[in-house]
Amino acid sequence: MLLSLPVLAPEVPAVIEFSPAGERHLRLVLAMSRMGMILDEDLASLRRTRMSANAIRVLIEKGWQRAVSGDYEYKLLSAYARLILPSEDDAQEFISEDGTPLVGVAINAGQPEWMTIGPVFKAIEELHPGLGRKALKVLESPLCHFGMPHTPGGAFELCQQLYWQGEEDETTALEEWGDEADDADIPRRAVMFDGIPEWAYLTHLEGQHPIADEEFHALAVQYAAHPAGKLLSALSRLLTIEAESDLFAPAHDGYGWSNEPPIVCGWDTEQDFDAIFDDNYRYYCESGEEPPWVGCVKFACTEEGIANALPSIRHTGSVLSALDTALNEIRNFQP
Amino acid sequence: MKRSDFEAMVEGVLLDMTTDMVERPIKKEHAKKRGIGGLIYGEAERTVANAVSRLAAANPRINKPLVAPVPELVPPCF
Repeated sequence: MLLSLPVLAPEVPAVIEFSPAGERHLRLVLAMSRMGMILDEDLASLRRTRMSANAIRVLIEKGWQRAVSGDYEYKLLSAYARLILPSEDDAQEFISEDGTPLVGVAINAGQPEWMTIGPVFKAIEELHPGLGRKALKVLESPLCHFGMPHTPGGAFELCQQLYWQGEEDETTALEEWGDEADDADIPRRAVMFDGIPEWAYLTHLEGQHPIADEEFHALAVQYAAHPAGKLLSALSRLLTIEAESDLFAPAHDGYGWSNEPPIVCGWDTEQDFDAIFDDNYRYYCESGEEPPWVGCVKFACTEEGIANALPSIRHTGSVLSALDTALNEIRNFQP
Repeated sequence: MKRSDFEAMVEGVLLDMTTDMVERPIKKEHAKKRGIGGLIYGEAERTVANAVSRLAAANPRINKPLVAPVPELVPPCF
């Protein structure tokens, strides 16, 4: 016997499958909607009778993509941001001191890119003494967020820490070996930095006046037509954006410095310092757990929380975007 | 769906969540009575223990092992 089925009114009963979506998801999507981060067209296709957890996630994703993705799309960097919505109530990382549940936008470096940077920075230094050195410093500044910059200067500092007991070369370390110093397996500065100018890796150079930020901006304009002019302009912009605020996503409190280089630089070839960087990586791995992110902006799932977090998220993305542009200019340099 | 409907729906679910948390009856954990070494006693063990307790109370100077009222159930303290 066939049973006739009752005809349901289109909006009754409402079935709302919210259970897989945590409270944080719901609070976040509500705050985003109130702030206009979710557009009417995003909501248009939703049915009043059925709302899934996946639909909530899609709304959140679309809203965040629209708000910040422009700053997190890079040509060369594989760095990325991810929105962390802890589903576990006991996610201690994401509970404020007063017990408010938080969400976060975390930044990580992704896979490093190997680059040769010597030719373009030598060309800049030849163009104007001190300018190549200053340009390298500008490049290294944002890289510090990811740990020790994997540049000639960073490689030198790692040599000091790993091999030379904090000194500028192997002399002190070799003294401990006495008559057997010749056989000591300690990397020699003359070998490791053969052919690399001191200004490229030493922090302090006697007799050379460091170029100030304002002078650097002016010189970037002055040499705009030079083959390295685009790089100088990109670095000038990077310096400006970095100086605008100190809102770069804060590092993790509970761990040491991160070690996620977005780029690994060689001077004349890409692998010039790989032996140092490999030793550092092995040493770093022995120290235990790694921080889960390079930086993370945590905020409450409220309109105020989002509004307070957005400047930091956008600033972080802008710095990385400017860094990405500069790195592309290094790669595209033709003498 | 209109924005106002969407927000009302989410607010409703969040309100239900909060109400549920506030009005949910508080579960009282029943304290489990555990004996020596964490053993859980049943009725038979309790009978034995009561008998031992009575015998001991009858003569506090008693110094020799007590005869267990149920031979196959030796109290754990013996």
